[in-house]
Amino acid sequence: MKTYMNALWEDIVDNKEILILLSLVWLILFEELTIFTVVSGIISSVVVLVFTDRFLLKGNYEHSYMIGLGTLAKYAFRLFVEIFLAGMDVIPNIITGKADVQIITCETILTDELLIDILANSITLTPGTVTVEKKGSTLQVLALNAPAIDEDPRAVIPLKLEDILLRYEKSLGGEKA
Amino acid sequence: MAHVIEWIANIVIIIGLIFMALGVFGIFRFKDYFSRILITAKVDTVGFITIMLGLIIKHGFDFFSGKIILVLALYIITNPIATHAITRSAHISGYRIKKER
Amino acid sequence: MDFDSIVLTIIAGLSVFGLVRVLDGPTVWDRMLGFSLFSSKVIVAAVFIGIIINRTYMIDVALIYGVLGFIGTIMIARFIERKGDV
Repeated sequence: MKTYMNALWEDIVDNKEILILLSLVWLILFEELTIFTVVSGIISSVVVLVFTDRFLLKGNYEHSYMIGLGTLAKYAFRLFVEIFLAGMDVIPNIITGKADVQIITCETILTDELLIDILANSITLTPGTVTVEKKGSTLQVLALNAPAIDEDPRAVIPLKLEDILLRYEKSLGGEKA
Repeated sequence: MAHVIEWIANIVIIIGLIFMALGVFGIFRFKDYFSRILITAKVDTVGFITIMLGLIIKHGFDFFSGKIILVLALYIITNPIATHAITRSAHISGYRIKKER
Repeated sequence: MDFDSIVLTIIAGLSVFGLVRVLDGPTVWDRMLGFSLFSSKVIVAAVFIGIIINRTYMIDVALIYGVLGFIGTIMIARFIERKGDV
């Protein structure tokens, strides 16, 4: 019993950022800040976390799949900026009605599966590029205003976003080793 | 001061409306499906995000803004998956364009 | 008529054009594109209705509509991709 409680406590400490996020969502859905809502929010997030950890997913997924809150905030801000810049770029194409659409195959430097998925979704979210297929770290991207044949095909990837993810992946590898 | 913030929020919402209108205009402008989804749906997403940011600026920091942030987060997570699913379904079912490399 | 009502009217007008694409689209993917456009307009319209009548529960409606539209789009895309064999 005692070892079980210890393992539970370790789980809670490991996932404190997820706990904070879940309790915040609970509070926002209730729309009031009282002792009852805070305590019930924390209890239900712990229950959800332990259920997911012990029953739905086996193994230490949180060590490789948890993106810290700071990285998340920085990434979201950078993503908004990229989306707006790309949106401005696309407007002349809409007005003139010209479109030169191509499918381009390119590779990312990232190796972690979840991070590649996040990058692919960000590529889809920016106007002018849509990811069609992903195999390992090779992405097929449908692009407007594609780079010419002699240029680098990696120009369709938003490189600054990849940079943030790459830095996170390096810190992850350092933690494991 | 409150008036200034409200006017800034209104201007941001109007910019978002212009983006959304451009997206709807583009859906009738282009001839084939791939250029439609590349330009139209995504410009529409920019308009959505801009309007929601304008509403958050207008309401300040309270539970209403928190709920709008929840809606925004849900939309940002689900929208690229839906777009990707449609495009992949078109690609696999054999909708092709001339150039590919 | 204040600012929010005018914005709501414009969004309702735009969503009609999305439905025109659903009825008119030459391929089935054009119809799905029009539907996803329409559902994003509905989410914004629900939030604006919530502001005009000054209730927050309309934003919950917007959340639920977002989830339902997402599931619908994913299921139809999968259905077409596997040619009817879900």
